[in-house]
Formats: sequence, structure tokens, C-alpha cells
Amino acid sequence: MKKALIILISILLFIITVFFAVSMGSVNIPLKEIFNFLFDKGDVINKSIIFDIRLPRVLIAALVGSNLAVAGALLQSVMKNPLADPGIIGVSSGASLGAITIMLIIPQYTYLVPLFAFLGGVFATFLIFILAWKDGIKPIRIILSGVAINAMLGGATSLISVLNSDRIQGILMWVNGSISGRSWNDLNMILVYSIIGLILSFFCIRTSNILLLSDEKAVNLGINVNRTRVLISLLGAFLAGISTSIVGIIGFVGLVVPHISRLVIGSDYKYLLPLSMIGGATMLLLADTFARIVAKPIELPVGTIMAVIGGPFFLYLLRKGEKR
Amino acid sequence: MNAVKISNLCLGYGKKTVIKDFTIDIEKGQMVSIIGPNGSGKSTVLKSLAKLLEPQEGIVYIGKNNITHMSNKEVSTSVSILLQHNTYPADISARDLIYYGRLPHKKWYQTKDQEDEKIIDWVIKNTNLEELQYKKINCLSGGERQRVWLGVALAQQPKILLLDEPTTYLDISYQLELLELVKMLNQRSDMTVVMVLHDLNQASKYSNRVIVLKEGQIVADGDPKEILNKELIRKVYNVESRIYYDEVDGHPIIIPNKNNLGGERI
Ligand SMILES: Nc1ncnc2c1ncn2[C@@H]1O[C@H](COP(=O)(O)OP(=O)(O)OP(=O)(O)O)[C@@H](O)[C@H]1O
Ligand SMILES: [Mg+2]
Repeated sequence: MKKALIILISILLFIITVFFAVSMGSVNIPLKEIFNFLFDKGDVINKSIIFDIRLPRVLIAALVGSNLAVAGALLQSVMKNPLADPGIIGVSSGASLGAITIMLIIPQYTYLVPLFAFLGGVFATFLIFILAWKDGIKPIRIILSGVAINAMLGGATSLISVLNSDRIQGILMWVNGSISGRSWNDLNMILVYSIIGLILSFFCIRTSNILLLSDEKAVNLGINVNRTRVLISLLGAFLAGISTSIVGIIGFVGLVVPHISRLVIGSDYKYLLPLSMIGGATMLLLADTFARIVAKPIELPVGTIMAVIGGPFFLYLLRKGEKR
Repeated sequence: MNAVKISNLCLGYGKKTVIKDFTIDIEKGQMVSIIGPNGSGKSTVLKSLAKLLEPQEGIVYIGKNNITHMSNKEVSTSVSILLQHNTYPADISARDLIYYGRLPHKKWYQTKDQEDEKIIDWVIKNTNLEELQYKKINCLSGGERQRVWLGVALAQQPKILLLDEPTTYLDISYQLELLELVKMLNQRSDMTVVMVLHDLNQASKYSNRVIVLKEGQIVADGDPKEILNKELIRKVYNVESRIYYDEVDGHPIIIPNKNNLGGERI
């Protein structure tokens, strides 16, 4: 029951964060006025700022945060490694390569971007299993292969960008991981996919838990370990891929959020997964709001903010993992 | 009726073959010990009975079914295994872990019900974990953890129970208790037991059949009273020993007294 309470509190925190994020920005709009809008009153310009600019952005940040945190939590189970974050192990780079290929080479097919981002993410996941899998993935192997895969796919992305440098302007912000200037259209592009992905993740709770045991005991508990591992990895790559397709590479959400959630609520996916979902939304929303207001009127890419927060956290986890 | 039938089985890892041409039948309700030196292939044989290792050649039958054609789920409802090495999330409670033993019997949408609770209570009582059931597994001693894993295997309510060195980590009191519990289950519910033991005297006392392995081959197979003797111990372990017979049930008691290799070196 204590755990249900924690989830309830996290939902409250999320709601508060949403109001905070909607009210803060280049123009601060007081909460009272926001409540007025709910009843169809108030200033027209401010209303437009909120509904046309801030709200879609807030929702995208929350959705992407959820997706990335859940992707991280799932990948951590199948790889038996708490460092498995879509950014670190190269899934996001793969997705980014897939997305950029479409955006720069055949821009008339923009609607294919999420699909190719997903395929790119799957490709990277596949690579990491080939390079690092040895009865689970040891921290050092996952890092090294992640570095290699990120370098490889990042290189390919640069190559495509350079060859199409006339078109690169429009997507420069995207490359760094940014939710700036996203509209309702962008939200619509990933909303359905995200909801499907997040709902599917709830079906992975039991198997994710069992995969934390040895593979042999998992088999003896009736799990088809290989098939399950492939399916859950695909789901992780899907969630990370569609997110990358809309906001570019944002690292560390999938590392930091599941880790803190684990400390707060334990490693049982029945609670860990929902908490990561809500926590991811809150975390990325906070980071994005911070990115908007910290250097007003300049907006920082939220990917950079996450890297600044997540980097030291990652090093800390790495050290802790080595000591054990 | 045979619980397990193994014919011409070859097992190994990658290209390496560890077990060659292994053929045995195990009757329902037998309590079998597999003994042999380190690396002789005991765990390997046990794994093949739980479908953790596909045969390179030959067939394993569980009841009438070829194990290769059974799904993991089917196998896990009739065979459960206590492994030599285990991994687990640090913060799971003993009781929650034992509940995982119920999962083979559940469809994906079914959750814990009254019957599960009853079975888990029974398992916890019989593995003496009542005091410890809500503790995190990380906070338990090696022996206590071993009992939890036995609990997981028992919660599966198997027809065939496989135990890989179940008494490691346990003090002698719990060693006896575990073996007595397994023997009781074996007698009461006709559960077939196949276990790997290192203690020859326990194998001798608690099983009605001993299979002796050396370098992947069966060296002896039968009633411990008939097959356990000085020559066998010398041949398999290269150890000289004395043998006495228990006053009550007549099982052989082996007292090793000289390692031949060590002797030569001096
Ligand atoms: N996963 C594996 N990969 C490769 N070789 C293995 C593997 N597991 C076991 N072996 C090899 O197979 C042989 C038999 O191993 P097995 O674990 O069955 O021995 P054992 O009789 O159980 O030994 P112990 O008494 O030490 O537990 C050994 O030579 C071992 O090196
Ligand atoms: Mg062994």
C-alpha cells in the first residue's frame, strides 16, 4: 500500500509540474489565469501562447520522457544491466540515423520518419546484442559497445548530413535533442504510437521480473527466454525510436529515472514500470522547462541539459557497479 | 512407469561433448543421486532433464513426451530444478520469490489467488522460512537463500524435482532437514527426485539409486548398498577409504582416509 501511495504522490508531482511548465516561459502566465482559460475566460494572446505553443510542447516532453524511461527500464531487464539506456547503448543513435536518412534524402516521405527511426533503433539493439551479449551484458562491455555503436552510427549520420548540407538547417536543432517549436502535428505523429507502446509495456511486467533471475531459472519457470528477450528489446527500441523521431537524441532519461524509481519503490516491475513512466514524464518536462527559462530568451536544447544532469549520475552508477 | 527415459544422450557446450552415449531409465518415485568428481558432467545431465540444454544427440523423455518437443511452460509444470548458481534482484522478499514458482501454472493474465497463497504458505512452513518470509533475499544468509530457492522449486509442485548440490551452504542440521523433507515428499507424493550430491554418505543414506559419473561416462549405477565399495571409490576419486555399514538400515558409510595423488607427491 505504501507503494500505491508513492505512485499517487508521483502523479500529483507530475500534475504540479505540468502547471508549472505551462505557466513559465518567455512570458510568465500566472496560474490563476491558466485556471481562467479552463473556463473559457482570460487574455486571448496568453491563451494562444498556452494552447498553441506551450501545451503541445509540454505534452510532447511528458510523452517522450515516459517513453524513454520505460524503454530504459525494459532494456535494463533484458540486458540484465542497470546501465542500459537507449542513449548510452546507441539505440537513439540508430533511430536518429533512420530518421535523418528520411528527412534529408527523401523529405517528401516525412510520415515514414517514425518507422525508420524504429528500424534504426532495432538495428542498434541488434548490434549491441551481437557485440556485447555473453550470458547477460557486463557493465564494461555494454559501455564499450555503446561507445562503438554510437560512434559508428553517429558517423553515418554526420556523413549523410554533410552530403546534404543544403537541407541541414531545418534539422540542426533536432540533432542535439530539442523539443523547441514542436506543434500539435508533431504530437499527433507520436501520440498513438506512444500510447500503444506504453500499454504494451504493461504486458512485459511479469517477464521483465523473471528475466532478472538467471536465464536457466527463467526457462524453468516456463519463459521462452530468447523470444521474450527479442520482443521486449523490440518494444524498447520502438519506444526510444518514435521518441527520437520527434525530438532527436535525448540521453540519460532512461538511466536516471528507472534508477531513482528503483531506489524509491524497489525492483518489482509491477511498481517500477508505472513509476518510471510518470517519473520520466516529470523529469523531462522539468528539464525542458529549465532549458526554456534558464537563459531567457535563448533556449537551450534539452538534450544538453539531460547530458549535464545525467553524465555525472552515469559515472556514479558505473563506479558503484564496479565496486560490487 | 518411467518418469524419465534417456537414450543415447550426448550433451555438451558448443562443439565440445561432455556426456557421451548416456542411457538410463528412472522410475516414477525413485530417489536418485548422481555422484562423481568435479567436472564429471553431473550438472550437465541434470540441466538436460529440465530442457536447459538441448541434446547434441539422443532423446530425453519426460513421461511419454520427448522433451525437445515440449514447450518450456509444459516442462516447467512437471520438472523443477534447484540450480547450483542463482541470480536475483537484491530487494525481492523470500515470499515473493517463492511465488515465482507458481507462475508456470498460470496463464499470462492470471494473478495470485487463494490457492497460490495456500501452496506458498505450505512451502514456507516446510522450508522453515516462516520467520524470514518477508525479509529481502539480500539480507539472508547463504543457507537461508538456498532454502528459498528450494521453496521456489517446491512451489512449482513438480512431478520430478531436480536438485543440484542442494546441501551446499547449509549447516549439517539444515542439510539433514532438507534431505528429510525431500525424502518425505518423495514418499508421500511419489515425486521423483534426481539430485547431485557431493557427500557420498548422504547419497548412500538418502537415495535408493546412485549413478556414478566419471568424465561423462557412467561408471556404476544401482542400489548404493550394492555398488558403493572401496574399489569404486578408488577408481572414481583416486581415494583410499574404509567402508562400514549402518546398524539400522545397512547403508554403506564411507570414510575416506588417503588421497593417492597427494600420497605420491610426498
Ligand atoms: N556453460 C558451459 N560452457 C562450456 N563448458 C561448460 C559449461 N558448463 C560446464 N562446462 C564443462 O562441462 C564439463 C562438465 O561440467 P558440469 O558442470 O556438468 O560438471 P559437474 O559434474 O557438475 O561439476 P561440479 O561438481 O564442479 O559441479 C566441465 O568440463 C565443464 O568445464
Ligand atoms: Mg555441478
